[in-house]
Parts: sequence; structure tokens; C-alpha cells
Amino acid sequence: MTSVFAYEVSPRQATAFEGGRVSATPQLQAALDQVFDRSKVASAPVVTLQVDTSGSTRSHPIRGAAMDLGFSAGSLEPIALSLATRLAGAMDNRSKPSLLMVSVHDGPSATVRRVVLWTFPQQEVFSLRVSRGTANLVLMEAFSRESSLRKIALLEGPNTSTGMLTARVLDFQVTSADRSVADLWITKFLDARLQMSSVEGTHVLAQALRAAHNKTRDDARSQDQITAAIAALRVAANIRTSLSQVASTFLSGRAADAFLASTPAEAQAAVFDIDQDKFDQLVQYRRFTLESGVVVSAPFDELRDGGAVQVSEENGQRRLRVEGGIEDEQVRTRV
Amino acid sequence: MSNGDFGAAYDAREPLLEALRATLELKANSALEGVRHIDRLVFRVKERDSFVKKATKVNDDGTPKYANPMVELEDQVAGRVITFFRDDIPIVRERLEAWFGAVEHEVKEPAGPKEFDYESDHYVFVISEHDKPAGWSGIGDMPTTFEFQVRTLFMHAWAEPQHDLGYKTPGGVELDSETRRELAWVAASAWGADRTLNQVALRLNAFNEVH
Repeated sequence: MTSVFAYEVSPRQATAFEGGRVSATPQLQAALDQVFDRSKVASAPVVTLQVDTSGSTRSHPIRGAAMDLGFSAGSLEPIALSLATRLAGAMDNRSKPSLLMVSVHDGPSATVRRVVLWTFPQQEVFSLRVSRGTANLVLMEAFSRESSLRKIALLEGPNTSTGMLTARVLDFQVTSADRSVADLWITKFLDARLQMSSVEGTHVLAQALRAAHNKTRDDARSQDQITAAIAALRVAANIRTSLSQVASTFLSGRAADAFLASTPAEAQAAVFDIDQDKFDQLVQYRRFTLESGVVVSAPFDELRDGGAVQVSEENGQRRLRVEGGIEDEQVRTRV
Repeated sequence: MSNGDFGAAYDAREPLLEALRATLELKANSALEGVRHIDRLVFRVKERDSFVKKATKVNDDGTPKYANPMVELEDQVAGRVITFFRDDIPIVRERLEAWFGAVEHEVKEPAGPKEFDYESDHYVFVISEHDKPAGWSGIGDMPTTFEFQVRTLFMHAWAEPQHDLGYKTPGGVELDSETRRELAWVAASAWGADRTLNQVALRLNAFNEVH
């Protein structure tokens, strides 16, 4: 670690920031290494910085700052301070004050630098002090290294046009249902986009569900899980997820294995927004409740022309016809 | 690095580049699913000799143009889509930009209204982590980006023979004025045909269907 800076940052802060360059002591290095390793930043999801595409400079406030921090010979403090200003602007009043740390490191080779941006939220802690047999409990505020609200961004690369175009990001709130919370770190501060776009992610999700469905045709429990997953994903609003998260939330055993089997590990972890319209189009799952109370769940291919389920309109009313051999029958209590 | 070293280094990565090529071609096809008037979409891995030639380029002062061409050369894997009509290009742009992360986009066109020459949309996109084949991280200095072009059939018909004729490269063939005039006429004709065909397509409602 060649240099490190720390600032206390409050939402929309307009006053001067407390902080500056700090000593890169072995203890600090060890503490940050511990946070880095425990957070598995090295294998965290990757985002692409939304650089200015109009020219060859690929300018971007975070990229520019990281490049200057890594390679510039001049004073680094103003650059680190600009990041504090940017973070304050990105936060809203629901955010707690945070500690912003910026650390600069040598990279894996002589031409590569690594810049890590860390935020640790402020939390109230108790400090017990005992003096001459008298115990005193002091309420303090401290920045928590282990908080689930901590965020990290790792940029690494050479000082070339292809360097530091992406970042590995740790943000436990990225899948929050509150989009403004989910977007704080990646969208508002880093000005980046999830590498797996909504369109691609939805495609991959639909393909994985179809593959899982096809592989588990002989397993009623797995089929039920997959059907329930599709039904839930179809109606969830503003959902941001990953294949790993879908598997852990909705599936288990054979269903989960079949769902993840065809997708590489990096793609399983990639976070994306589900495009609901596209999902409906790709999954083509339909569940019909008839006037008689009969429920028909029609998977994928059976709704096409010539499929087992035929939906038509007669005298202004939609009607359904289905015919096929019974493979399995279960007695269920309908609640 | 010597030419031989660059060549050997490129040979070592060629299988990974080929795997990436296949993945990106699949992904680009998915991105453009349902888009009409696509003549073809192709990805290729840069040929070894072409890579070495570019990697060893020098500036006017004799210094290497690229500090680390193994990373800096962004067309090691490159793709191109060719559309029927000019008005298809914005549709293709929108789809590609939604799918891939662009870091550079340039519309290459003649400098002035009296000139007719090369036209093409040039993109540089980031190679997403989940598109990289297994083993990619094990080789140092792999590219982080790929190039992509969007053209119409007529833009392509004008652009492709230029490479082969080689007159634009330093040390290439010197052209007499008659030849330059003929080439200008070809470029203008391609532009005119492209534009007219697009107008006909508009008149015949070729773009009315939802993509």
C-alpha cells in the first residue's frame, strides 16, 4: 500500500471534510487486508464504468481519479478529496455518515496499479471503561469495518486507454428493493453499470429455468419449485438479482443443480435487473384458472400452435382446451 | 519483445481468443434477436501476422506505438454487423449498447459535404467478466475490450476492397489522379445507392414492424 486517505463524509455535506492522508501503518494494512479478504472483493461482481464514449480519452470522474492516484506524480490529496465530495453528493439523508477510505497499491506487475475505495458506515457503539473499580459505559460513534452497509470498489489496471474501465464491487445493498438505495454506490457514486445487462440477464435466467425444467421432468418436487420460482419472478417488481440468488431463494436439491448447471460461475454471480416483459416473452409460462375451479399450468412449449394447450376466443369469451395422457397424479389440499 | 516473442505470445492466447469469439458472436446474435434487415453478423480473431505487424508499429520518432500491445490492441477479437439499410443502424446501436458496455463510439464519415469516403460505426466494448472463457485470468495482459463495427451493405462494399487495394497504407501504392477520381466516384455511388435504397425502404414501410 503506497498511500491511503480517510475522510468522514455526511450526506450532502457542504462544509470542509475532516480527514486527509493517513499513515499506511502495518496495522492499518493488515486491517484492510482482512476486510478485503473476508469480503471476497477479488471475486466480487464487476461493473463497467460509464465513460465518455465520444472520444478516445474515455474520461470518467472515478476512472480519472483512480488513474491519477495510481500514476500521477503530483499531490494526491486533492484527488482523494474530490472523491469525498462526490460521495457526499451521491448520498441522501437516509444514509449514515461514513468513513471514506482511498488506498493506493502496487499492482501485480510494475505497470499496474490498484486503487481501492472503501466506505464504512458510522454506528453507535458502547465502550466500557473501568477505572478504580468504577465502571463507565460510554456511548460512542465509530466506523464499523464489519457492517453490512460497508461498500468497496476495486479498480486495477495500467496507465493506458484500456486500464481501469471496470471495477469489482462489494455492495450488499445492490439488490435492495428500494432502487435509490441499490443505486447509491454503483450508479450514483461510481457512475457504472452492471456488466450483465437487463436484457442479457433476463435471457440467461429464462434459459436456465427452461433447462432446469427440461432436466427435471421426472421430478415433481423440482418441477413445483421451478414453477413457483417462475410465478414469483413474474410478479416481483423492480427485481435485481443473480442466478445464484434465484437458486438460493427459490430452489434446492436437483432443481437448484439443474438450474445452475449450464451457467458458468462468473455468470451465476452477475447481478442484473429483470426485464419483466422480456421474461414473460421468453418463459411463456401461463397459469389458467377456469370457471370450474380447475387450474391449468402450461409450461413453455405447450402454448404454441399444435401444443397440448389451445386457447381460443369464442363469443367474446376466452376458452381453453387441453388434452394429454396423465403421467402423474397428486392429491393436494387447496387453501 | 521481438516479433517472434509477440507471435509466440499471441499463439499462446489464440485458443482463448477463439473461445471468446464464439461467445461474443452468440451474445451479439442474442442482442440483435428479432431485428430485421441484418445481412450478417460475424466475429473474428485477429490473424497472428496482422497482430504482430500492428504490435510492432513505431511512432515517427521510432518509439514503440504501444507500451503493451498484448493488452492495448483492442481488435484481437472483433465483430461486425451489416444491415440492409441506413435506418437500421440506430436500431442496432440501441440493442448493442443495451447489451454490452461501450467505452468508445465513433461514427466514421467523410470530413466534409463535398467528400465521399469510408463510413462505418466503430465501437469499443468492454469484455464482460462472465463472457471470458475459463483460463482467461491465468494469462497475464489479456485484452479487456473488443471492437465492433456497424455498416450497411453499401458501406461495406466500398470499405472492404480498400484493404485489399492497400493504397491507404504508408508505403502503399501511389495513385494517379484518374484512379483517385474513379475511387471517389465509387464512394459517391455507394453513398447514393445506400441513401436511395433507404428512401425506397421507407416509402415501402419496411421499418414499420416492431423489432
